[in-house]
Amino acid sequence: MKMEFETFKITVLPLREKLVSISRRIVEDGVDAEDIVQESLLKLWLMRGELDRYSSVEAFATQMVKNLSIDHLRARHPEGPPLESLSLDSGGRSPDELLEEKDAVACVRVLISQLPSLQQAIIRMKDIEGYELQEIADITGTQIEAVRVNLSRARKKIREQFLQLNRQ
Amino acid sequence: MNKMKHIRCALWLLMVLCLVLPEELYAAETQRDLKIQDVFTRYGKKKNVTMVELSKEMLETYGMTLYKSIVIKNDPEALRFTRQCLKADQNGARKIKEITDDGGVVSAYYQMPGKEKDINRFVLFKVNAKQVITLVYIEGELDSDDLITLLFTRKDF
Amino acid sequence: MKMKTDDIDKLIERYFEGETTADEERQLRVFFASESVPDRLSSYKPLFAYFDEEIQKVHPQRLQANEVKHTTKLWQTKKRWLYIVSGAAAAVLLLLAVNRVWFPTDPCYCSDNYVVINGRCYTDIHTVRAMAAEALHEVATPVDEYFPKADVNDRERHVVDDQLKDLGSMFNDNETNE
Repeated sequence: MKMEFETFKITVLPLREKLVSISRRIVEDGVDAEDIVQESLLKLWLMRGELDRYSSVEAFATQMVKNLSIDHLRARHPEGPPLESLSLDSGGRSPDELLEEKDAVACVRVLISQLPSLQQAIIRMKDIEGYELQEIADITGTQIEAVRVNLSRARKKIREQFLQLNRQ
Repeated sequence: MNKMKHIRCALWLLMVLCLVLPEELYAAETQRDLKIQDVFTRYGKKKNVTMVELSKEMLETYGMTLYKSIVIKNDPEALRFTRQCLKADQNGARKIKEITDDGGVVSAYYQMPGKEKDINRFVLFKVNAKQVITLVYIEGELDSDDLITLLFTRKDF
Repeated sequence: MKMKTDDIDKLIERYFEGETTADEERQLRVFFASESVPDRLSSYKPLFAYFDEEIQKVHPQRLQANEVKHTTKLWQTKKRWLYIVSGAAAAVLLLLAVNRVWFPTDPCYCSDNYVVINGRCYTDIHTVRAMAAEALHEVATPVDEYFPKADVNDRERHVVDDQLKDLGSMFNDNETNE
């Protein structure tokens, strides 16, 4: 990871500030812009192997940030819709329906998909890709504590929602 | 990013291989055109066979670039094969001198042009009364006069 | 690896605080996939089962019980390229070796000058030269049978004369037949 990160540090991370300002112009919120760029950096890291396919990594990253920023504008949900209403991913069924069907894993999947996209990305990096907090902090150009807090919030949210559904 | 390094590494290895491979191919190259070379490859390592090859350094003074000879004892099959090869190679020869008896060619001299300009190729063949086959292949800038001189004066290389 | 209930509770608490390492999270996944999960913790099972599923999709070669850290997986590192190229090189070299064994162009690779007698290669320069000269001489002298039998002295002289004549005509540029 070290070697490849060095390359990433030189080619991608320097773009961070510029990307934040691009995002901020679109979403008009500094905090959201920061999150969007962090999410982009994680995505760019996960596809680092294919990056040399693009003649300009900067152009590609810029486009990604713009797209995510526009998506963010369209979605515009601060915390997520009521649990029962959204039915994504698992064949058009809502989380509580899935739970009733004993498809608890699918229910978890839906719950995660309802998290803010940066938190989703962090969970993916930590729980699925197996990175450590420090690595995630390095890639996103942030502090380890900030990553931990985001991760903790995400996990607690999933727990809270799931237990709530379970009691029903 | 890292792909460039991988490609460079692969090219490097490929280059090393390319240095090794041509040695294999080159050895066969000058000989490939004449069927007579098959006699060397086929019988060179066998029992009752003596095969010699001399290097360029040793041959320089005589104007040769390659000298190969093979002496095969007691092998009628080899004789048949060699005669076949000689027949095949005759076609390209500029000069042919042969002595034949009932069995076939007993003594032969062929001169043919080489692959490069000013390089000649000579095939000398003989089978004696004791059925011993001697085959000599020479490449070089020398012409037939030079070769006669060489043979006459019995130089010992 | 048996998990004590206290340990597990502590680990779970740290997990939700975001304080666990990748290895500890692996331990949690293993634990929750096992049979020994107490009822009070059973609601956590789907969460870790979900991660197991996703991990299988992303890194299918990763085993549950003994996961290898992503940094040490051979085929995913840049060393893969090196192995592929080395493998190819080894294959080519093997082919060359086989080529030499089955299609020998020269039986002796030891030196520029060599003589092969009865299949054995000799590089002693005197031997090599001697053999070369012998062959050349043999091929230069005309066929025995064409000399009539006479007494020794005469024969010798004849032989020499005829040899010269034959030889000369043999190698002459002028196309004079004997």
